[in-house]
Amino acid sequence: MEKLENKIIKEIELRNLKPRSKAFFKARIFAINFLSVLSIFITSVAMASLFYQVQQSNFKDVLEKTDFSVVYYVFITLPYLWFLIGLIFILLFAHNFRKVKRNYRYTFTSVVSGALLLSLFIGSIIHMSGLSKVTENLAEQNIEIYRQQKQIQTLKTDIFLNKLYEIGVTAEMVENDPELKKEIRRRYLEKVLGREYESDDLDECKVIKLTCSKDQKIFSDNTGCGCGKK
Amino acid sequence: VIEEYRRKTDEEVAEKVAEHPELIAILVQRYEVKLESYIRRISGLSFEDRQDLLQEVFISVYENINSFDPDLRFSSWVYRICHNKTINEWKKNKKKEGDISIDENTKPFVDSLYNENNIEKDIEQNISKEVLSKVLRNIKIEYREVLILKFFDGYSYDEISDIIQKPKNTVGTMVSRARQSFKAEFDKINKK
Repeated sequence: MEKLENKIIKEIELRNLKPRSKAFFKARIFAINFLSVLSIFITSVAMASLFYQVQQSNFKDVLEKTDFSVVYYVFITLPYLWFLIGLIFILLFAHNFRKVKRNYRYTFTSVVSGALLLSLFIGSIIHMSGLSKVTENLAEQNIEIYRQQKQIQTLKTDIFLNKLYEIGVTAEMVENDPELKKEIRRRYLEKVLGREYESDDLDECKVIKLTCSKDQKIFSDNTGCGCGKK
Repeated sequence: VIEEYRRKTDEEVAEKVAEHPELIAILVQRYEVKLESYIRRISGLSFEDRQDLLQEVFISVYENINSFDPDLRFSSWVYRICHNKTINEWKKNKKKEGDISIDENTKPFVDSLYNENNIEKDIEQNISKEVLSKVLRNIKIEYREVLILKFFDGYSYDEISDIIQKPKNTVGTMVSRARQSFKAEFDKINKK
């Protein structure tokens, strides 16, 4: 029986096989590293846009206007598209990173966590430098699906506002109309704090003499005055 | 050239293979038997299939010799190539998998399995080749592989990690689960 080493040498000669060059492998590692860096960069931009959207969503304001719980509000207004983009690129990074050198020694979870932390860090720098506003505007102007997703987010908030107050308002209307904003806030306080308004005129509140029942207490703030739950 | 390099280490030979293709013969001679046993123990492939696979492994070693990382032991690298090819071949031919064949003395394997293992010594240490082959055949291929690398070929966790490209801790967990699986399968066969 022919020896294996002879068979292999014959095969190499017959097929005129040559070892792939060092440059080929270097180029491959370069391409993988480049993809990894790009993935981290894109995830960081996604994070920066997430920060920007959270900042712009006026969480505190909306939560004051409505009686949504924080968790519920976050759930309906999350910028899912950025989450999806971030997730895809983080996974791509982890996959590529573990292919280079001896990086398979790190667990997939630790690579993903590390990449996430790094993206959060770079993302916050991008956000603080004001670049997140630029990327957000660019995305809104140029990416149709992004525009649609933002519309859906606003729509969701509007639907829930309307459901809650049974009045035809939209998030945009509330934002642009101080009187409506005041009304929404008043309804919210009536509902949550059990307030009964005597007046919403601040000047009148200064002179009005309020009498409340035993289980109530007087309140007076920039929305008006009256009796509320103790 | 071959004679000149015969006494050199694997790593030194590997470094010169691209320049002198005939040096691949030295590496083939050094690893042919080990890799053939490895393929036989984990895959259950026929003799002809094993020979074809072995040839593919060495051709791949030759073609990719410039990607060999000197930080790694050559044996880990060549086993890694063999591992990848064997697993691919096994996946392709899963349905016609033959018997796992253990030709070697089983005692060192069983001894080292128990010495590292805190499973109670309730298994006779002198397991026959047939029983051992049957037990190995019935456990998952990834468990079978780590058991063979650890207890037949005597590789460390670090080396197994380099071969199967998984973190060292994962290898530790796999070995531990593989032992449990081995014991459970052995008990099942024994009861019959």
